[in-house]
Amino acid sequence: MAGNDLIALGCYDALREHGMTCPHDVSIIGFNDTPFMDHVSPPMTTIRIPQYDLGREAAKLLVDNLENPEQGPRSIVLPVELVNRRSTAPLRAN
Amino acid sequence: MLEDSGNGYQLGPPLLELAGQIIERTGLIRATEGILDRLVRAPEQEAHLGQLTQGRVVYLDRNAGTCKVPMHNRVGRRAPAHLTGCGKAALSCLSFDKVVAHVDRCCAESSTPPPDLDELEAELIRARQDGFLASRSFEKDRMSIAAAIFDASGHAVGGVSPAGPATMFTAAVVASARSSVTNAAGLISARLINESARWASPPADCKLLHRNCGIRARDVEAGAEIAPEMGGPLGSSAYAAAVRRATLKDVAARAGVHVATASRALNETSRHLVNSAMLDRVLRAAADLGYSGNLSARTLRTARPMAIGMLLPDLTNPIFPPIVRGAEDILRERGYSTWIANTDDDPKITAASIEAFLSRGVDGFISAGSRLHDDTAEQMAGQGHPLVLVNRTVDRRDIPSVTADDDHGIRLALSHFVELGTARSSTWRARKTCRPACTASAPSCGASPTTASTANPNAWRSAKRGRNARGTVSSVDSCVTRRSSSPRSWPETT
Repeated sequence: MAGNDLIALGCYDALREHGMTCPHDVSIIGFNDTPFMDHVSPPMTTIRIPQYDLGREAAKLLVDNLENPEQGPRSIVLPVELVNRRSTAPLRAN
Repeated sequence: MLEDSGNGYQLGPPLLELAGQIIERTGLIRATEGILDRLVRAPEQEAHLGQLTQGRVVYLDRNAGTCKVPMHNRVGRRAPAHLTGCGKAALSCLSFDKVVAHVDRCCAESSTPPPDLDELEAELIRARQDGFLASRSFEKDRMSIAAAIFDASGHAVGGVSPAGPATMFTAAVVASARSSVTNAAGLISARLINESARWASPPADCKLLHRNCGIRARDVEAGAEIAPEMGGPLGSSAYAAAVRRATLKDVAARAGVHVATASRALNETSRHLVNSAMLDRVLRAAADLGYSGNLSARTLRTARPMAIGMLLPDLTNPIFPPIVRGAEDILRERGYSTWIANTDDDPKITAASIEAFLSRGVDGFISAGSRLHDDTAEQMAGQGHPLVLVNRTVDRRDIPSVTADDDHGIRLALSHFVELGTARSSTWRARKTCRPACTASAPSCGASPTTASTANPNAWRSAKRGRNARGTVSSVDSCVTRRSSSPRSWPETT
């Protein structure tokens, strides 16, 4: 399980260098679901964070704070989801 | 007042303190911080900040550049407003009746001969149309380029001006000084207005502002592109229209066209839709009424810079473009423009970017840096700059943030491994200062080993026995090392 998708991509490379394949030998889960992770090989299983909505909500929060300065600091946590693609597989019986 | 050893009186300390408080209350000095320095372009130049008080200008601040020049308007000096650049810039925003009253009083008090009122009126009208004023100083062979400063209620409270030897103000220097001084006056006005918006309720303030200016945002848009034209002498009604800031309606009425036509003619993008005779009439009317692109007036009307600075570690990291896009879509909808700076998470670059944004005028910041201990964010919040963190939080919880539920994400990932029977996962912490701390061993993240073992106790125990002989962890380590040695390394966790 990698801290973000780019690290997971690095893991793909490292496995390949060691003659291993994903998900045959090792299952990998990325994080963020950055663009194009569905087009890498294997398509990456990852945790999707709503990046576009993060931007939208941040802008709304800031503009609301500017227009109603008397309201106190408010923070928002947006839901995430698992995007099940091809970089994870059941453990081989060995 | 204190009695002076029998000869008379001298100012007592409470009186001086009172005077200081009155000056401080206007917030003018604070609003000008850092701006005068930038107005001085040559060693012989200097910059002045003057406050208009009862027809006189009181010099509140002066930046004399590197070369001391023999000017006598030291800080604290009062001079009749109609004799100074700063003063005339401010007077040009009053009705001429008031100007005359001030001039009469000043001349009577100081027993100086009254100026030529016709000449003064023409000069003030020009200043009002141009948004600035180039004038000879009351000092010999000195010249200044001045622009007026407005407060939240739309009144001219003073002026700011670079000044220097008259010989150095060639046409090119005047043109360049003109844009910098109108910019400076606009920025000071915006700061004054922002400052008052802090304690006044903004909606009421805005209404007041717009009523006083008699102008709407749409009019401002329309008028922004008009080049000021020198009109002939105006009658008093035209002067009055100019003084209360001519609206699109005034321009349409003077040109004898419909408001919509005037709007189309004044807007460069729709100008081609208007026939040339009509266009000519509208532009002439706009020029006559001083309906021009005066920057300080425009800033005044919109009251705020209407821009947001976005600080990102590195826009080439693919996680950021969607965030920027989402933010900009909302900001545009709400009338703000979005400015972006890449900081590489470097405190120096971050500080320089913030300063650059502030000097050009932004209303607030969105920051997506990836460090958990971020002095910059805390400083910004401490200095009262509106700030929202995106995709991150810092230790201080009173700074608003928008984040994804990373803890739940980690839980989902671990549960997925458990379902697949591959819960012998190897995870590691990418950087100790980062959040999300995407590791099963981080006590704060909620996705502790216990979470996984609750789902399947055997699975976690088998994970502790380690992976197969070929070792996932060593592969992972090697990839991290390689990545961080590349010239453009992304933050490991974003």
